[in-house]
Amino acid sequence: MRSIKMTVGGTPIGKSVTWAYPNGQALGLFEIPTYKLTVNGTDAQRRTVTQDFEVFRFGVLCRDGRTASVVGLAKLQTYTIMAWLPNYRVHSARSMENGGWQVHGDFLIHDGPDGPNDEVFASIGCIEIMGPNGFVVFNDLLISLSGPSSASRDEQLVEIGRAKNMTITYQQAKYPPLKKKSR
Amino acid sequence: MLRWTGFALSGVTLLVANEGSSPLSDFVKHRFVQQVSSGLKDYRVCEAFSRDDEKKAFFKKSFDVDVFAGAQNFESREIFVEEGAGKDLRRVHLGILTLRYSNAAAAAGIHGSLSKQGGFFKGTEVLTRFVPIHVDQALLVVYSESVQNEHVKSFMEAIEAQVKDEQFSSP
Repeated sequence: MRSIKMTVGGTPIGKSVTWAYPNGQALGLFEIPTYKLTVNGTDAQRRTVTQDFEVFRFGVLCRDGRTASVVGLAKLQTYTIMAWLPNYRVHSARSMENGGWQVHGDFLIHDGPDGPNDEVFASIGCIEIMGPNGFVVFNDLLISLSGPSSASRDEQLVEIGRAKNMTITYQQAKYPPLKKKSR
Repeated sequence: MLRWTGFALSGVTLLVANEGSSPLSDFVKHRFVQQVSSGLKDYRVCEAFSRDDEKKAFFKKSFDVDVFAGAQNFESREIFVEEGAGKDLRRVHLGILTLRYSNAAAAAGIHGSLSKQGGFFKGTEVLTRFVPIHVDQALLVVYSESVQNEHVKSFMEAIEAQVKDEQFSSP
């Protein structure tokens, strides 16, 4: 299978809202910057393909229900994607946007908010792919750039994870300030 | 009655049988669609179905209390009102969990416990607001991931009173 390189930018490109996971529902919403994730690879015709996604990189953590802090991976670091986790569940309903890529320990790549006005996603350092059907588009791209041999989409994602042909580099970034969303 | 509901999944429409949805959940669904579709020109109403064991596992980790303890049966529905496609897709979500207990006191007890949880599922990455509604032997949990949608906010504020105002001879 062909290899894929992903890079998470260190400079904010926008902003979104989040909440303080897992026990900070009563603290209200927070503003969090968004970043660019660039996917580089080659398609079946050996053409170079580059596609950008808007993502969460940092999030807000609250364990005690009272105090919140910004968390995430800020230093320059590179990982090989370890596995596709088909049973990782983000949504209450069955969805093609469930599942996740294991980057390192509990740090994953998974679905994020469709837009700024409907859902509020939490992150404690996972990369979350934004946009309507964003995670489906992202995974479709990984399949087209990897060229797995399995027949079904589910099996293709597992095969890509097992091949360990994908890397992700986090460019150095500054931790954003903890900022409550103004009403 | 057997109904067929279309569920669009990545461009493929699956037909899934939904047998015997309760009048309570039909009422809530109807009110939801009415509220969130106002102002939309061209929209779709879709339902996603999950296995019972998947849903039970999800709800058991989402609530402080085991809502299935003492429940005789349950029905779970996930409804989406969608407009547009591709990058312009807008999707608003509603979930309805209907539990039926052997008596009204059992339903009231679970309702009381849920009311103390603060109105949000626990352990979900997507902030999910819920409203528990007690109707005789039945308990409805109406919930949504679309917590910032203004129509959903209004709907969640009003739905308990609307259900209470409606007469359900057999909820």
